[in-house]
Amino acid sequence: MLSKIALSTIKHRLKDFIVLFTGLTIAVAIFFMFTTIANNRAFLEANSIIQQITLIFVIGEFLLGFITLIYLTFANNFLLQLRQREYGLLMMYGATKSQVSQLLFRETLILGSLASVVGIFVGMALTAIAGNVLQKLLYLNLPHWQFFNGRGLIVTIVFFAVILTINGIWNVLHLKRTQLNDLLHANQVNEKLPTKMGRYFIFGILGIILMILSFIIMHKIAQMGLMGLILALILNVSGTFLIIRASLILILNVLQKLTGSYKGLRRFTIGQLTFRLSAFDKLLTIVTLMFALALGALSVGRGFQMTVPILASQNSAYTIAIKDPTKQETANIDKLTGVTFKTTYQYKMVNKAKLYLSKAEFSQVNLPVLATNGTMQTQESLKIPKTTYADAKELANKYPSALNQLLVNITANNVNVTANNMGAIDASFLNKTAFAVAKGQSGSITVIRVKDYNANETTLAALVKSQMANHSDFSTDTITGTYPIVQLLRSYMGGIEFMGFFLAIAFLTMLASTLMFKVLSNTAIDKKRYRILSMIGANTSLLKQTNAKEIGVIFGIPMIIGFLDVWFGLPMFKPIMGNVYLGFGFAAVVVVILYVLYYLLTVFLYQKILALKQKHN
Amino acid sequence: MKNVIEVNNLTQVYGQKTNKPYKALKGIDLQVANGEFVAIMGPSGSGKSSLLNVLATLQAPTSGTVKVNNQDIWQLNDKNLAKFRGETLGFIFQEYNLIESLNVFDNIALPLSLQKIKKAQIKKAVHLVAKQLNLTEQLNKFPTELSGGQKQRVAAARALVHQPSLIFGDEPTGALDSNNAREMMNYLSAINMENNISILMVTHDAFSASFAQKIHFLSDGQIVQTLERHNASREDFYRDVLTTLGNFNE
Repeated sequence: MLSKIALSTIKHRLKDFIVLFTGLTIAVAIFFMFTTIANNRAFLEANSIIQQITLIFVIGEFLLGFITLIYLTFANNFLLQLRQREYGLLMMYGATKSQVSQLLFRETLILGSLASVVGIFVGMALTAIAGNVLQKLLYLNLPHWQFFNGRGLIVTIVFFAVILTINGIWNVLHLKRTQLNDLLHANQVNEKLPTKMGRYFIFGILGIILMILSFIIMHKIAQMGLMGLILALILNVSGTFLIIRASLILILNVLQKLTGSYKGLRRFTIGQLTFRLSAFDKLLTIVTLMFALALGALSVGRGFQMTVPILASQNSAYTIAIKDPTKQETANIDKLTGVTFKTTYQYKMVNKAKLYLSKAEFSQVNLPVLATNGTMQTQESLKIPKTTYADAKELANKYPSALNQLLVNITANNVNVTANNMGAIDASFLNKTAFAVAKGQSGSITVIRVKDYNANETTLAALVKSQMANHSDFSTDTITGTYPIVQLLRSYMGGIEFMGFFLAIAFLTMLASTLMFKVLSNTAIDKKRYRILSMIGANTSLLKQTNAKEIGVIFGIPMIIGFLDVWFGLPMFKPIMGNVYLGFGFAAVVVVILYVLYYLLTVFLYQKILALKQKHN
Repeated sequence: MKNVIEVNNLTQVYGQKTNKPYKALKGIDLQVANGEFVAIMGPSGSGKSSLLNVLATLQAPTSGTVKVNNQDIWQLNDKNLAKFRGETLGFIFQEYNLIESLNVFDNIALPLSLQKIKKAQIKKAVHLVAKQLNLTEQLNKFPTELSGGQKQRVAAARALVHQPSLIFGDEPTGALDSNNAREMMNYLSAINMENNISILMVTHDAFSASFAQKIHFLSDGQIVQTLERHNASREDFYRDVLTTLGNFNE
């Protein structure tokens, strides 16, 4: 009977329950996503150039566990807030405290288990989709990838079972301690009053100091190692917490003293924010953390992705060389777009030991070469120099490595051309007539340079594949040019690239659900306030603006601190990345766009719930 | 004497599109003169709240006109209606309707900030009205730190601070004990007389109503009787109200 009553009351607050259920489901799904990767040791070890990657993932999992724990506490408080009055009423009608406690415990567990089951399936789907789509988008094919693993599933189930049970027990204890009268009036939520300003001053300064300390440690992470990482994390999180809890409230207090604060609803906004920041301190701290992790992960992922073509372009002046193109391959070559260079050189080969090339051909159309600038190839040197050599001999003298690449490609042999030696293979340039009469198996090699790999990805991949199939003596590094190197680098760096993107998706999803959930759970309090303002004479557009501004500040704080975190945190990756800020611009744009979309959606939903409309008939 | 409110043939029908429309107001005609203190009494479901919501510009009527200071309020657009509400009307409700995230000073100052009045003037006006309602000591406190009587005085101060032509009260003593209710009504009478602000108050409490100069009795969406105080003392008027209510119930 009691369960029946309980179920029927759930119907009345279906919207709130949907918000709660969705939030829980997403929390489970994201945890599952992360755990699945973190427990796929083979994948992590095979795909990462960072040796401690497994350990980093374990730390990451603890971090996510911590975030999830705080999130579940919010969700649980929300559930309590939703149900307390109903339970009070049940007790008025004669239900005993222990009956009601049992009911609440059961409800917490049922809601949690349902969300866990759905969440695990959603997590599997998300992992599978994110994994496959990402690998396709990034042109990766990562070994040992799986969207499900048993260990991950067990860890997820155990984690949520333990936390839900703790939550259930806590709820029961809370119910036992609360007076019936308080339960009945639980819907009249009173926000905590902010404490006096003196305290804020000390903690506000302390917060900024801790934050700066964490940035300094991040900068010196190479010397400090793993302990430094953990220390930086602790300092950063507590610094963020204190800044939100104290420094910002201090700033609001100063703003309130300004004459301009008396204009319109500014003092209302400041008052609201002072209350909200005290109530949202923990939430905004973890949202900042998630924002920074998402932005950082995406920066690193994108950084590696951008490093690949740069590194590749430092290795060859052309995109790909195709030996003895078949009809199919010629058709594919014609399909390539943005071709900036294309030429074909004839060759004759005797028993794979003697190779003849036509001097005239090389003099007529220069083989693209990289100009070297000392030992390092600079960005400028990546352009194909105009006629930089007069004939083939000069090519051999001046640019042995360029010729070297071509010869490797033709002979499928390791050759090492120097100025005086044409390498292990007996290769020589012949003049026109000598080349024409030379005996040997004749063939050709087509050298191509395209502007953009990504635009030609499928065709280039098909060409590599057919070259490998057509030439049994080719190994993976026989085909020369930048594209094969891109492929090689992708298999080498792809793991990090992929994990960066994958984690960014996971953190952004979790962030969105957490922040939206918490912000939207305040509409009950605000509905009344906005109604009052409307009665006092604030028009609808002013109310909407005020509301958007308030939510904007709440969204803006994690974004600003998150940006600082990433800006100062990225140098941690110096040991494995050339330019740590390479992917930052892209990541910043993507994350900010998504974040602004979350914000707009939250404002839209918020104002829809507040029903900020004039009731004109 | 000029009228601050003129209501003509006002009707309010709920659920018009359903097959069981409910007529909450059935053609109300009503005038409130400048500086008058009028109460509206009636049992629950008589249409008191519907009438107040329409007059207070919180809900549009189905038909009929409401003129406040000769302005047909339901002809105004949203922006002008909000402006009108902010400048001309004051509200005191049973549940105080204070904003918990603002301290007493800021709660009282709100209507003035919305009218873009300068800081110095706002401060002056708030302190003046706080003095009148004995709230000077409370200005820095938050609503949760106040007693019920104090909260209602803050609400009254906020309704008064911008010198409106008309204050609406919706059961302003409904949540107060008898001492606080008496005190509140004394304040309202003082506001009515000293500041020459008209008051229209909806109540089911005969004691509170007896502070008014005129009482309209509402039943089933219509005004069925009007009682005027003339020069009678409040105590005598209170007795009259009780008698009238007694007759109603018979």
